Amino acid sequence: MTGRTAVCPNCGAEITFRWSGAVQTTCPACHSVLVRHDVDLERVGAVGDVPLSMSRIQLGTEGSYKGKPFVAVGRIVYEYERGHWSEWHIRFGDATSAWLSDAQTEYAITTQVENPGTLPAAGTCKPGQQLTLPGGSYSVAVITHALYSGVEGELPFEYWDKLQVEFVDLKGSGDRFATIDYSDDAPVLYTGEYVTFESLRLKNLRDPAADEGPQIAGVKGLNCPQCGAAIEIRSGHLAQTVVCPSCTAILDARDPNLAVLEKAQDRLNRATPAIPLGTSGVLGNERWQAIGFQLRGVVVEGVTYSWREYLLWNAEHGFRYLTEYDGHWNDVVVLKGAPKETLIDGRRQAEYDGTVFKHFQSANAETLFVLGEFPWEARTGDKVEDADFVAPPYMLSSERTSDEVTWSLGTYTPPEKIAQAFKLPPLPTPRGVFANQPNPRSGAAGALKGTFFLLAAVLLVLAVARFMTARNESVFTQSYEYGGSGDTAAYVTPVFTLGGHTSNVELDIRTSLSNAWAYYNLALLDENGGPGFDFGREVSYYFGVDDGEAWHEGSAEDKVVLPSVPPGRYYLRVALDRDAGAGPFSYTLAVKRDVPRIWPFLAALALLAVPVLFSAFGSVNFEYNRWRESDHPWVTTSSDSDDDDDQ
Amino acid sequence: MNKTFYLILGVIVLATTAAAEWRGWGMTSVTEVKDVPRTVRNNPGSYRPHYMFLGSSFRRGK
Repeated sequence: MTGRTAVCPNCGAEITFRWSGAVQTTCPACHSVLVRHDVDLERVGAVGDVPLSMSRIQLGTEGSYKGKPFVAVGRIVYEYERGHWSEWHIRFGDATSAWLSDAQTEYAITTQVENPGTLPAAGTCKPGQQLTLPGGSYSVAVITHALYSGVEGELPFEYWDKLQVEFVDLKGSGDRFATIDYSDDAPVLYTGEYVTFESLRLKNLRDPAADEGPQIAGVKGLNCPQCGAAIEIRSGHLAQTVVCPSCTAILDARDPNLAVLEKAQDRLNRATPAIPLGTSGVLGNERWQAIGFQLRGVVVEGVTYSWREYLLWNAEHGFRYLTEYDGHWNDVVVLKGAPKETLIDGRRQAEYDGTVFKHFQSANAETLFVLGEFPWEARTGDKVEDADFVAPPYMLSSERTSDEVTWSLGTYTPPEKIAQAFKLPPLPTPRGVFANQPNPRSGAAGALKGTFFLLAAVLLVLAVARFMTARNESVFTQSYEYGGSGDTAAYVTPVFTLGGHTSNVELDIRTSLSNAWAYYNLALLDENGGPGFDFGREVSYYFGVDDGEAWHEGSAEDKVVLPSVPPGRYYLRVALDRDAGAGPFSYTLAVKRDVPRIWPFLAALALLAVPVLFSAFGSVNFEYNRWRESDHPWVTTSSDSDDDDDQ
Repeated sequence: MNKTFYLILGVIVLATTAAAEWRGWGMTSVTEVKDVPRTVRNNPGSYRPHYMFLGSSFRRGK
């Protein structure tokens, strides 16, 4: 990597150029800013020490992007409200160059777009605004007003005396990323993509242990200026605010004296994190440390609904979050890409990575209490417009402020997994149904449906077979006359044969009763004695006209099926009971053997359907309860409407 | 519900239904009596049925 050398016009130190196209460089000895004029170097100014940061990259760091090796030859450092970020000027082996952005362990590689067309003027972009630029459609994600903080190494242009600069960061589909840089008179467009630290295969990285004292990442020991309690800072230079665990004052972590940003927070909102800050746990394959805790909430009709957020930190992978509401946990990562929002049938939805998310709820969320440290200026009273979209077990959330839209993806995580990851005692059992909680009965009814239809088909075959093979044999039919009152003597019918296997017997009684009743004491008896079947049947039939309206009750006919009668020769013993003075009537007794019935098959069908219906009901009920808490309840009540108005 | 469990339950329901139809099982209230003498046929009045008539429940129209 050695290249052309020159001498610093200010101090005489040797300057080695890594890139032949460099326009500007800095003297590593006297920090003079040197601009090349052909073979001469001109000192145009001086810079202070470049602020220390968490970046592992340094001048001379080598890596690879899309198979092309590169080396970091220069850097511009910017400062903004969340700290510093670095734009590393990287030079590829083919003499081309690009920019590697390193912002709080989030990396992106971009190159300048020549002739980008008309770009929006400075100060005109709004968060969430869609822009069509060379390379596709982008959404405005962050508008940053950054302060130029320092330069080092070789740059492709003169850049050393800037003050405040506006940047508009844009996110496209997938990992596509773009920036509009308003630091010059005409805006400049850079496009590229997010990359991971691992994918760059970086070598010759800065050793963070080489930094001194409290400025290195890791635990930093300080004291609260308000109460004197010990303060720990675990994320090093990335921490912007830190909260005193004793008096809950919010302190400026960038200030060596930890200036108080906010005095003790409201006692009413104080909460105890279920994951003690400083606790480490393994999520995925990485070890994460809980460094921050927020209580956030929305107010609906005067009632505050609050949830807890834990900020997790990993030196190489940056930040992720855990959220908890009523025992329901979500593992949340901030998205690099921008989901596509659409309106279908008047209802919002978002599409990300091929998955469609339905709008669930929009609300104004407020920070109620904070503990630990944060890479932004966390304060109580911070407000964002929050919109949640769900596709269980995932939830897309957008948080919008006046200059930023942040999208995050949450994955519903059982509390047991959180407790196991952080070695915590058992966490509270979730209550109710959460927005992106997977439906435990989803698909269960569908899975049983196929089996149900199979069983129903077999049942149909059985029914058809039964009706085709049943004897359904008429074995006895005879008519009788009842002579009038007092004719109650019992009599027996002729013997008839019940053939085949043990099966049912149907007795059909047809009478000429008219506004009268008769009770039949009946017994089906074996010709040779032994067991018999004793039963009684009442036949009554009344009708008339009351107030011009015809009515009738009962029937002049009756039918009964005797169960499980063994084959043999039988007769009926018949004894009639009637009211005293009842008139004569006629009736017919008919006996049938082995009569098929439809109701056992219908009962079986109903029984088979019960588990399917139960599963379907459970699934529907779960979804009903899920959406009851959303902006789109299945049943709208007046209070729901009021809720909508509030939002 | 587990699919296999449901299938087993369904097979039991089908088998029970088939057996019920084949054997003529039913829910009619019938009293099975034992050792009825064969002389009943010759003297029907000697038989004492288990179903005792308590009178009609119908009142309307009378």
